[in-house]
Amino acid sequence: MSVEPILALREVTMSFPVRRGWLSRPLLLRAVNSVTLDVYTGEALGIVGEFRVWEDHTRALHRRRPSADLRQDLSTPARRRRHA
Amino acid sequence: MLDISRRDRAAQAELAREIRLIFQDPFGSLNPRMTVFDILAEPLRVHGESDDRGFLEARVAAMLERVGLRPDAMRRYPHAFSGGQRQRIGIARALILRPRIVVADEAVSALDVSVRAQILNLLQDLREEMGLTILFIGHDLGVVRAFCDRVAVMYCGEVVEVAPAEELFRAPAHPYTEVLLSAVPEPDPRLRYTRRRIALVGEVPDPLARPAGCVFHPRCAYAFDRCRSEAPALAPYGRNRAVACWRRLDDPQAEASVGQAGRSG
Repeated sequence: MSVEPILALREVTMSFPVRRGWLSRPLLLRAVNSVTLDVYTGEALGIVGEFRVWEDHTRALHRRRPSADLRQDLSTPARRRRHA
Repeated sequence: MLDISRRDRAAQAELAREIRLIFQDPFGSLNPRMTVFDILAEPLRVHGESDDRGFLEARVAAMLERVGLRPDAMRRYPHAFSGGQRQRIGIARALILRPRIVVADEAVSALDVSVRAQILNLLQDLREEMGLTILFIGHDLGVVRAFCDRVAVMYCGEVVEVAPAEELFRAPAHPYTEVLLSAVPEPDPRLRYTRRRIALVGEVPDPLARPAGCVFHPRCAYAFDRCRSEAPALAPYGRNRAVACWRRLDDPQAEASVGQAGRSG
């Protein structure tokens, strides 16, 4: 195992706007909240937890656009389109 | 160095090549209308390796052998295989592009216990042969302990502890890890009632209404005032561990650098 990370996550947050009842303002559900983690070359890193939803989102990050800054994230046009 | 937050097609395509997934359900994750050849050749085609039938067949045959299936399996459809064999096909599909990182999402939880060990051994062998880095998402802590070098424990979307697997299982530092470990069934009936099982009260907090302070404090047996008002960041604990817990960070064993890693707000 080398000391060089192959994957470096820095304050990765995955959030979704959700509505509770029609008319309510959308709230931000932070499924992954500021995860900072290094994965090193050649290692097997286990991720465990109680509810798989959270882990799923961490895993889905390489398909979606993660962001360090939530506000910046929401102002990105691509993102707004996806949730429109 | 690749920025995984880039969303342009070129970056995404390269990522899709370097990071591959093994899925949980060996039944749902293989298209029943595609032959094993088509399933395994698809990533090679998509990523522009070749369109030559002979070349693709050779690659597919070699990959099938590596995961312990006979090359003539490529002519058949997924229904002809058992759960364990299908998971081998899923692994072959993930590895045929020679990725650097494999995300194994509960890769063995859908399998019979007897098959589980075979698939884990296969993954371990392939990992060594191909120099893979594996992100192993799992609930079976026994499997995680046996398979992983390090473990990250997540609670309510946050990493609350990271430690080498053996150390984590020997001496959990975060109260949530402690609870998780206490829930692992003890195979030896003579030891079964000697261990303390910690039952958690309440639910995982609503992520829309995160508790103030530490996310775990409403369910934590050790919570004190600071836990209720101030969230601990993941910080180094001991030599090669990290934990987000005030109890440990106040500990002299912890090398203080609170606020270095973790949450920004």
